Amino acid sequence: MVSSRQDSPTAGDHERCLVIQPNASLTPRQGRLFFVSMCAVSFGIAMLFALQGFWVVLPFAGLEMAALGAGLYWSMRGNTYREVIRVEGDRVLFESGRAGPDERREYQRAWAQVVLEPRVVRNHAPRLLLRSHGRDCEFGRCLTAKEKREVAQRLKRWLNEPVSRAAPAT
Amino acid sequence: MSEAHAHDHHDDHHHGPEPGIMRWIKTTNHKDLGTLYMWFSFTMFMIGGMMALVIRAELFQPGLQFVDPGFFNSMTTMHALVMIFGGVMPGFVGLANWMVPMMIGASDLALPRINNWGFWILPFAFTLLLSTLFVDGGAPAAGWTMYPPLVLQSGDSLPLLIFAVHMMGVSSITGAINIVVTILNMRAPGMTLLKMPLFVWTWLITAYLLIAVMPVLAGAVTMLLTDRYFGTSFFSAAGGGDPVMFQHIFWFFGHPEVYIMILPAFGIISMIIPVFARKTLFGYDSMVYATASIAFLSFIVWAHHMFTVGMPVAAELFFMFATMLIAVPTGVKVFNWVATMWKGSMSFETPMLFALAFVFLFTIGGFSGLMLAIVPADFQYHDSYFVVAHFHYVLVPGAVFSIMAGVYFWLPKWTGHMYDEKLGKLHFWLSTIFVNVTFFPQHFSGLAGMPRRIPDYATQFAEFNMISSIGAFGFGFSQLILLFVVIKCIRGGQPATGRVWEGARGLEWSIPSPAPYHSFETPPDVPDSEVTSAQEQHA
Repeated sequence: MVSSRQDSPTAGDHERCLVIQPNASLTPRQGRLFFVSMCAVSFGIAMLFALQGFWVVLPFAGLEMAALGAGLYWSMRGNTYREVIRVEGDRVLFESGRAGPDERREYQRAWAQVVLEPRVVRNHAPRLLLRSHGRDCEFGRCLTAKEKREVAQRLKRWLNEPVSRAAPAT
Repeated sequence: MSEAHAHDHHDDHHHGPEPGIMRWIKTTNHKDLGTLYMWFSFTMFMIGGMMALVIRAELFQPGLQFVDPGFFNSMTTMHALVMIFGGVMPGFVGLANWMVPMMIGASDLALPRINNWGFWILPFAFTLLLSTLFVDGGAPAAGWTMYPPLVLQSGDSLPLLIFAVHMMGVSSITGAINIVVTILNMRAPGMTLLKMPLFVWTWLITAYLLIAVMPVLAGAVTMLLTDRYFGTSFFSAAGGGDPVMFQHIFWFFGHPEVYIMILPAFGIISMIIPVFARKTLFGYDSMVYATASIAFLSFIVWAHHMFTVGMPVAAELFFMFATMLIAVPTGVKVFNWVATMWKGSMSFETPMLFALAFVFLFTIGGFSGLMLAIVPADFQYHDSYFVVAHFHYVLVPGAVFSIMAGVYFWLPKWTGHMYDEKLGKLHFWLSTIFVNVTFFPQHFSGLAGMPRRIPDYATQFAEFNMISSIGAFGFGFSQLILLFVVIKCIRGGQPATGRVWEGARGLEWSIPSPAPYHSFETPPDVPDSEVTSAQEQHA
């Protein structure tokens, strides 16, 4: 999934920014809602038995809900991963990470290339690469083939814009 | 993110399986684990089947022939436990492991290491369970329902049985959590809930049921353990407890468990029929809502298993009508399957034959279930062979046939080869004939008054039992054909195309056959043409 700040009314004319994130079919709110509803059902059943004196069901329900919560948290943790690509003046900045940037790279815009490399392996989507000085940096792995093509086109367009247009106002 | 020298990075992420035995022990790949689950399920199906043959050999004629009554009771108990927890449930989990990620465009299940752990608990759980055959007092013999006070009189097998049930429960829960989280959080862009294939939907609801009821089973068996070894009196009338409450608690788990064993079957059949009828599934939405309704109703019908134990008339009426209500969503499903076939360009390959047999024979099991739901009638049928016939019609031509249909349907996708159609059809016809020869006469012996779980019987039931035993041996040996077909298909055969079946649609069919070790490492686009029968109305 890709979002761009290029079209944002608050973004300056010089600012070119792409945010890439994995597709998450469960939003945090939906995840919480699902977990709470499961807890309500599971603890509701366990409480009914506990009120009859059969309290042993309760700790098992608790253990299971803890396992479900941990599983949901672990899986949804991956949804917070972001890759941010900024084209600012003569620089291209690449940042990736979860809560904040865990990794940061900077390229000279004049040397940076965006390459969409087809995969030899059948049925695999092409690789999206930032290439500079003979070194590649793969990004956008969480994108579909169609999204990769769109990102490649957009980044190529930004990189090819005259530097003066993209230069920050002083 | 990765960095590499240009032109030196081909296929850096395309790694295959680890060579040798360690592949299967350490694997976290959903396809490998699906394969392990399927083989485990087949092994347990054979072991449980051999126990069934011991039972049927003993019942071939009146009198005691081969085994003593205690061992006979152990066989009925172990047969049920092995078939339910070792055969049917791992079979469905195996199919889910293989197919759910591919159907929703996910790279794997959400928690792959937990998936590995969940599988590898099972061989230990069943080794523990089967080891009870060799302990003092013999294997558990109080029935798979483990009713106290009878089960508390078991020998040394009781703690082993309870620990084994706990392990099976942990395995089921890990599988259920994995499937729920995967389906909810890892669907490809565009794969909305109402575009999901029905197999995925039915598994989502099944996993929900599993999560809801497994703590109840764990609590119930733990209370048995504490009653026996720690001086509690949960189910001991002498200590102020209530043995009947165990039945309520057990069946509160047990009835949803019945649907846990049949809802995925509905999903498989809903995948197969449209393909071989070359039509879209009739009433996709109503199928989803019917599945959810059945799941909901499964929580409020448990006492129909124990009408004879005594309860207020109002309760009997409530549970009778609630049980009958289940016929409505189930009827919707049967209607939709028939309507899907109506005026379709049908062909009758092995998966379709099994699916058709499922629709026909499962409906017979459903009708006998309706008969059992009627309280005054149930007082007559209870604990008779009629009940045995009923649940075997639901579970064998129901659940087991659907697993077989699924295996034949997806085998070319798994192996890259077409299976031997002639042998497949032979397997189908022998299975279908013998399953009816085995279980249909049991309706009559039950209605005539033959009780279940007995090693000897009155001579008036001799003919029906002889026919039943002949059918059971025929059915058992017919399953060797399935083993042969699968091994033959793995070793070679006509290459399968990616699409395999002419009418097949869905993401799983958009990848080559055999499915690559890693499918959908990057999320796929979900074109409308691949939205299965689904749901074109939503596309």
